Amino acid sequence: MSQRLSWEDILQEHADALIAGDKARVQRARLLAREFPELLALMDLAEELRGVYRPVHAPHSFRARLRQELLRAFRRRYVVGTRKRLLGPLRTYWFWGAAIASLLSVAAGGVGYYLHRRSAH
Amino acid sequence: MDLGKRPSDKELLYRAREDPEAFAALYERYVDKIYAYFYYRVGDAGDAEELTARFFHRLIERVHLFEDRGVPVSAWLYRIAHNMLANWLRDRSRRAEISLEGLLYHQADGKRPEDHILMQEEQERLLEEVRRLPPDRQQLLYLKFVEGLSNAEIGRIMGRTEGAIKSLYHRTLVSLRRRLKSDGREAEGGEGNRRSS
Repeated sequence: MSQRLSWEDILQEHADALIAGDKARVQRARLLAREFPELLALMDLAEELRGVYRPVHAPHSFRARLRQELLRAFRRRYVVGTRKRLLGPLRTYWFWGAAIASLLSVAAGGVGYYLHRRSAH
Repeated sequence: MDLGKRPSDKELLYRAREDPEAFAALYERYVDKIYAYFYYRVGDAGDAEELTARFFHRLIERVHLFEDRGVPVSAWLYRIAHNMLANWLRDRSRRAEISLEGLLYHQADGKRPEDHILMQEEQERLLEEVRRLPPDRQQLLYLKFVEGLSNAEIGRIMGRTEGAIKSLYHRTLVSLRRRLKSDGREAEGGEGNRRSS
């Protein structure tokens, strides 16, 4: 078990050295593993993987096209969001304003009718 | 903003909630990484483009959901990418259809064409085997060898401890080696240490 744990540590050191591109450190890690052929084989495999995984870049035309598309989508979403945020309270005010205005107009009508009846008598 | 200082990912992400320019800067910072992540996982440039586009559209919807809980922005983004990919693979059952054609096109290095073809075949076999690994192991290899992240950072992305990542890395190599051996790869061209077990 302790050997397994130490293998993990050695492999980790080896991987860190590989990623850092530090050949001397890679060699030191390999020296630590020299008595364990299986561990050396795992290091070989890690080195192969490091060689296979290279940085990949998105094609330029795709990047540019997507950027434009995203900015349009972002602005659309932002404008819609802003409009909702601004108009949301206004809509509420309009509703209550209209409701109060309706009540006031009904009340004014009633008062007018009452005054008219009273003056008629 | 301080003109001389490059904004951190977090600053950019917070600004990107309302500022399209900040969103564009965040996009420029991550588009290649996200594209490469999908590219290595699905093995097809067209699918990687589709997934990358979907990812950033989703990011527009989710950018306001990020909360600073000590998790790096990159971890948050890779989690979104990871979940998206898992859904995509499940929905389309694409795993069996992955094409490796052209995956290694970027490795032109001046070698003789026949050497290059042999090397490419060898690398294709290796990547094929990597793709047969469980998704978390593929993700670990990608984050380690392409992104060059530390175990602590990978742990934050994958929701595991640093020690668990170290252990997973060991088990991944062991399992990959076993698969390659059973595939007869050793008999064809393995050398030195790999034979000695």
